[in-house]
Amino acid sequence: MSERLVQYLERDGRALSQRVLQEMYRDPFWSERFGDRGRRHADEGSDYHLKYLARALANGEPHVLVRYAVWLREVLATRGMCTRHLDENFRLLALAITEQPWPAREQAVALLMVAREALLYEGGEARRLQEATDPLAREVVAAFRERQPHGWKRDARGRGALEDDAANYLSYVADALALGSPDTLVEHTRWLAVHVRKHSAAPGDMAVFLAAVQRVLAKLPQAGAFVEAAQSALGVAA
Amino acid sequence: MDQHAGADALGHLFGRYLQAQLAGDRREAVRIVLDEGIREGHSVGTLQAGVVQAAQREIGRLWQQNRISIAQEHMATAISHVVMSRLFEEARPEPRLGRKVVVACVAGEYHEFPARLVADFLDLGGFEVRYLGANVPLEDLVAMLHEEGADLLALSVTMSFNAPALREAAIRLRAEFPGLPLLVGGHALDWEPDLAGSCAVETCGAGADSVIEAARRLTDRRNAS
Repeated sequence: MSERLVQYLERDGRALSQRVLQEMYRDPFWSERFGDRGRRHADEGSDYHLKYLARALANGEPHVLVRYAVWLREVLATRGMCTRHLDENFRLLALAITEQPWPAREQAVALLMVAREALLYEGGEARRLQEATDPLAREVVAAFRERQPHGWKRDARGRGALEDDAANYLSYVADALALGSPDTLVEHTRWLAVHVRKHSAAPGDMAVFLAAVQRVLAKLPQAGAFVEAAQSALGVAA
Repeated sequence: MDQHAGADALGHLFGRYLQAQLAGDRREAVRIVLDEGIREGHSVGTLQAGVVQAAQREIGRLWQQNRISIAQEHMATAISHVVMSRLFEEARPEPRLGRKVVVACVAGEYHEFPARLVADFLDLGGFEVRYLGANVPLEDLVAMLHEEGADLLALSVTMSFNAPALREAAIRLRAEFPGLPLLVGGHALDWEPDLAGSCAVETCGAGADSVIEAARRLTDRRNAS
């Protein structure tokens, strides 16, 4: 049965992953952050996702896809793409496969779910942050809106943009923790500050956003220290 | 001397060799391995594995961590090919064993360096080697084996998605050359521990001694049967 599924993946997978990328690229983050080169890499990356998914299907177990996911997590995290983005890509790919009339498609979906699990770090603050991303992101939104009820940028995601950006930012924090250096977080923070200004955020919004993140991460001292490094890099008060 | 040359001495060569690679300094890289390494009494096999192969692994890790670009990675690998050629010239090969090995990467596999390393190990270990390089189409590999009449085929597969090419090759070669031992290595085996077993092929450790020992054992067995 998996042989048929692999054949379907080989035949239709590229069109499927292109649709997933189009969905992701509705968020201007992608084109602005990574440009045309990033889009080419995203296309290539999607092809690799499918190739490793096909290998896992052929093997009847997820090991090779898990190894690929963990390897790719570091490749992307050090190049400005947080693990939540990769997880979202896997999630949307699984969703797109679910909608196909392929026999045994649930096998591919199950393997992608295992790969998503593998994106969780083994322990420490990085893992705690990943496990609590969604509620923490909502807390960041609440803390931000206390001071800026109408703030933040405008884009196609509407009012959900702030929560989404907060969740992604927390993922950048988790990745930086796992990498053992705030460098990738600092770099993302600098970029995000310019990006949100370009999308109509008020001048002080980024500082308020970082202060909200800092407040929410009060129980995670190392994460807090990394956010403080990002605040310092932007020249905003911790 | 080799047993007495400590890991620190080799580590010292490794670190400076890596620096020379990343600086794109081919002459310095050759000088470190050939002049210093040989002068310090390290064997060619030790330098191949402990400096060049180890540096290539580190280059891969640095790329993964976005600390070097693809261009730098390619530059560094090109330097390792130069150094491997010089080490090959410098080595004193074992006497010929009268056994022929064909070494190749499976179709679609462009990571050539590991196969080249194995080819050099085996050649210096006394085997007569036909090294075919990267991405060898199965039809051409079969034709070469018919022409050469090899005692052993060594195949390299780095990327897991090239595993189907390995499987296809194993099935075809077993049918076409019954009794020809098939030795397989490469990173794909690390990510898919069951791959070799499911393809019914032989594997061995990464160092020169392991590769040569496996090749001797497999060709002994073939010749005895």
